[in-house]
Formats: sequence, structure tokens, C-alpha cells
Amino acid sequence: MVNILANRAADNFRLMRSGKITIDADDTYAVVKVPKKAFVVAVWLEILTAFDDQSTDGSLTVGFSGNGEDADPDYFMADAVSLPLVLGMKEVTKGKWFGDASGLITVTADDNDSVVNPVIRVWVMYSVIH
Amino acid sequence: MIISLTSKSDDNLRVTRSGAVTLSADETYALVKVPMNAFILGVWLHKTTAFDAADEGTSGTLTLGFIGNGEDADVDYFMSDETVDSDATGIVTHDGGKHFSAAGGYITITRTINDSTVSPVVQVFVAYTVIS
Repeated sequence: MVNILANRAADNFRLMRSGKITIDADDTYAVVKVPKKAFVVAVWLEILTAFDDQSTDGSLTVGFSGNGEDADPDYFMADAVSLPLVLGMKEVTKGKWFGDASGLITVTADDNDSVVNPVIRVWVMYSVIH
Repeated sequence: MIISLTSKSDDNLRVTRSGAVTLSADETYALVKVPMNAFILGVWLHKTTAFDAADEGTSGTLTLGFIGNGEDADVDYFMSDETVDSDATGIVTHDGGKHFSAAGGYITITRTINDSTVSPVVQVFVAYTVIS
């Protein structure tokens, strides 16, 4: 056995919640700011008002910008997971470490034909670890 | 990009666990009480004694849900019978995602139409943050 045990640990924890955000344009919405060294543990997307059924080509994804990287608008949640026509809570536990710089959790709406402006809320859980 | 950043956050965390509960009847069992404004981060169901094989292929179910928050009870909100896998021992998990924003509530487990000759024994762990 090769011992390369970690001595890096943190016991801090933070849960962030966005306000209720009305998605009234095809755009990227920055909803939660996360600090440098934040390790995102989980993200929840709560759809309070769904796209209507005319938005069959539309998509709603959750991703990030920052950390000195190119923005990745569906890093956390692709359209197949967010299910923008369906009300309720959608969850993903995909991790992301903002080791180089702080960043933003984003929601991106695209090609939406819905006559209803959906309303969403985002929850983000992270720990800051160096 | 549209900036709509939040300042709402909290850093409290609580993990609660039920006792080892014997599910001896087809009933809904309230196992863990959660306060108003609790956001459920995760739910774990530890099955120390499973339903026996007599339940396999029958219509019996075991589900994990909630009551409270001023809503109708949702007995399989966290785990359907398929997720629970009631014929096997071990731990199954759900990654939460429920805000009790209107009122407190209970995490429940519901047993229905079970033909098992064994009463299963389960324990539930719930992690939550209170955030208003």
C-alpha cells in the first residue's frame, strides 16, 4: 500500500438560495455567487412555474461561469434533467471545485417558445476547502 | 448575462436519525420531525431487516415521503418503492430537495399491502439546513 493520505479538510458548510427568478428572456442568469476555493457539493433547481407545452424546443440548464474557465452553461444540469415543462425540485450532486477563482452559478434559457415566463429558484450547497 | 444574485444563505446543519423502527402494520409512520424553513439536503434509509421473499412480486410497497408544510401528504416524495428496494437490506439514499417554507413537517415511511411474514426494521437519517 502507498500512503498518500490527505490532510486537507474543512468543516464549513453553506447553503445558498436564490430569490424567485422569472425567466423572461433567452439569456444566462447569474443566480448565486460562490467564493474562490468553494467545492460545490449539490445544486437544486426548483421550477415554480414551468414552461408551457409550446416550448418543446426550449431548454433550461444550470451551469457556472468563473474559475478562470470558459463558462459551461449545462455543467450541473442538462435539459434532460431540468425538465423545464415539469414543476418541482430537480437535483444534481455533481461536484465542482472553484480552485482558481470565484464564480457564479448560472441558469441559461434558450430557444424558448413558451407563452408563459417560468419562475425558478436555485439552491446551492458548498464547502470552502483549500 | 442577467445578474440576479442572492444574499440568502445559512451555514447551520443538522443530521437527525430515527430509532430502529419495526414496521409491523400497513401504515404511515412519522419518523423525523423537521422545523419550519428546513431545507432537506439528504435522506438515508437503513434497512436492517428486509421484507422476506413472500413480498416479492406482490403489490406490497414501502415508500419514503413527508407530511406537513401546509400541503397534502406525499408518501413517496423522497423514495418510491423501486428506490427503497424493500426486499434487500442495506442503505438507500435520496439527495433531498424539499423546503418546508410554510410550516414544519414530518419525514414518513409508508408500508402498504405487504405479504411479508417478517416485519422489516428500518432507520432513517435526515440532513437539513434551516434557511428562511
